Amino acid sequence: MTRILVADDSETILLLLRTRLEMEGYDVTTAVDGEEAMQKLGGEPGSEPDVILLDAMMPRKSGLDVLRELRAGGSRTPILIVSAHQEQEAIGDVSGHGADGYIRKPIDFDELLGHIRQLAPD
Amino acid sequence: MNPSLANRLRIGFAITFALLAGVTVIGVGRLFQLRQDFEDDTTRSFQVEIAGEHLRQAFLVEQTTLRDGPRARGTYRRAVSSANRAAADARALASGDEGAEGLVQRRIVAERRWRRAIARPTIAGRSPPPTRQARFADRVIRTGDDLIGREITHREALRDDVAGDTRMTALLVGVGLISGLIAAVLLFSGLIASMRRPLERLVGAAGSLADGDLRARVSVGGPAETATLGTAFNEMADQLQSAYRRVEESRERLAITLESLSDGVITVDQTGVVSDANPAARRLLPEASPGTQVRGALSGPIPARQLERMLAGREQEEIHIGEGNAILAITASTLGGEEGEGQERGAVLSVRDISERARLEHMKDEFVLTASHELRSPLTSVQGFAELLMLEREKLDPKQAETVEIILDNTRHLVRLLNDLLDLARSDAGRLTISPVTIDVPPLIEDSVRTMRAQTTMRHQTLETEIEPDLPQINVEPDRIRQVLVNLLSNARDYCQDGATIRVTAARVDDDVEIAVADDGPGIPKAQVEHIFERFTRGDAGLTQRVGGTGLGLAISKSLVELHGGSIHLSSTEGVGSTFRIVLPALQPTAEEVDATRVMESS
Repeated sequence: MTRILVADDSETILLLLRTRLEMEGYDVTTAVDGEEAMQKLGGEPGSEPDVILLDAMMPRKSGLDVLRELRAGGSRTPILIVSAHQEQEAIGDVSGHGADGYIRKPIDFDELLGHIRQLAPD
Repeated sequence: MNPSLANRLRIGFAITFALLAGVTVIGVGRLFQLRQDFEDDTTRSFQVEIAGEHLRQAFLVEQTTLRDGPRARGTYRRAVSSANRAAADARALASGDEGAEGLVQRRIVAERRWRRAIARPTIAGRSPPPTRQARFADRVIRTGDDLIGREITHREALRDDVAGDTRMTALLVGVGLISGLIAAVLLFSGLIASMRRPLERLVGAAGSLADGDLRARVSVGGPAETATLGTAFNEMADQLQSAYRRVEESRERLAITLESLSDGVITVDQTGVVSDANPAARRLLPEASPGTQVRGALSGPIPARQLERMLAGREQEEIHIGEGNAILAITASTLGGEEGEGQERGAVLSVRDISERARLEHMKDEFVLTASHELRSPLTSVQGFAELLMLEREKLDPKQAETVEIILDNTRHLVRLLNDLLDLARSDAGRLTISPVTIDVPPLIEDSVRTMRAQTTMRHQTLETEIEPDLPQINVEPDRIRQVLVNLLSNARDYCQDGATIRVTAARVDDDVEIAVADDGPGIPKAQVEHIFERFTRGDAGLTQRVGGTGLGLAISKSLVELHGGSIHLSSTEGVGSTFRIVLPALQPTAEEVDATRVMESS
């Protein structure tokens, strides 16, 4: 089963994403900030997610920081950045930092699911 | 008031004429009189002479009759009476001429004596001795000859007199005429002199006035004309002085106003040199101090082309320069003249410190940006969960399903509104940027039309396109121009009745590409046309209720088109339809491209 790690500082958004993605048949893990996401990623081997969804802005550690750290550590796991910001320039060129996609809030689930299917084919 | 120059001239001419005419008339009269007197005198002298001859003949007749002695008494008496008639004639003719009168009298007396001493005795028969006869007769003849001789000499004297008098008269007439002419010359030079002095004073005063001495006045004098001229000159000088005073006063008021103005005011002459700057301008824009060339001083903050437009009076918008906490708004107006030719007269730049306004606007923009970001997360949840519910629609009863659908519709509307607001806020904050690429026009239009096709078909509306072949390329961000086109097409779809026709056309107009969206819908009332691109301006209230929409679409479209260096226009007639035109600068093919086209065409 495709595993997805979702990090967002909003409990509601996390609930929405978990519910919707589980409905689509994905195995969903959640984190409320970047720190927690890093902890979840550092778990027992073999449980690494197939796709990571990171909210760009989070307290403690932002999604962009996580992205940079992971790519610096050599991880190739597909990462999608979710942001309330429409402006590319506000969060920098995400693909330049190694992200595989950029999703705007409010989330268009057709677009999101399309991205996930493309990044983690069954 | 003195007599006028014209009257003086008239009087002068009249006097001169009268003088000369008088002299001439008197001279001619005198000459005529001289001639007349001469003729009269000469005639009388001849008559006296003839009378003298008659006397001589009468005496001869008397003497002859006496030869017959006493028998001749009868004839002698007749001869005496004839001689007496001749004597009376001679006396009458000589009367008035003393010389002739005396001589006639002597002749008559001599004859009378001869009669007493010779004739009467002879008639009586006592003939006197011949010597006595000869003595008395000689005396008669001598006095007669004296009379005749006297008349001959008298006529010569008369001729000499009249010649002398005529010469004298001619001389006097000549002298009179010459004096008259001299008097006329003196009169006219006097007149000229009487005019020259006032005129010279006027010339002097006018010179002083021209040199700036506004107190210059002239003393009124001379003929009426120069007096009037002098009065008029003084009045003109008065008015000039008071007008100058008024100008000076208003200039002072203006100067004080300018000094105390918190806005900067910079005047620029026609060559672009700063001629004046008030204290506020010196504080706000020290680089544009008087004497500097404004093109040099402001070329940094203002692009050259825009600066030229400002100086020519063609820039309507205010130009903002500076950044951060110090922002200035500059507006330009030209000095006089028609629009576009103001550059010849100079311009006035008004400089306003809008830092505070800019700061507030910046805060507002930041607020809107932050708020719209903050709203996004809850909206994501609302929309997401409503969608979740709709995914399990079959589990809901129809009433619930309808409710969820309403929630979703309104959420989507809210999202659109939020996106539009964000676009505008970014546009205001100058953060709306575009990443233009060079593209062909037709695919851009076809994409937008394809997006809208299903929705117009649903309302039985006809959607046509007419794209001119060989359109030049344009340099735009495709998504943004597509956004504008879709917005215009959605408006047409929403505001037009079912079955309406919507036409999208694209054509080259000069150096631009013009894309037009025209419909045959209800049109837009004239009063709304000019506000149509403003925020939250929408068409007819009843219609907009039905149509929905944010009221921001056209405002965003305008910002976006302008961001591409283009413009957007609306023409509309109520009951006929509306046409929106987007004008975008056409990309000029480079020289190589032109060459490449030629090579392709020729191969």
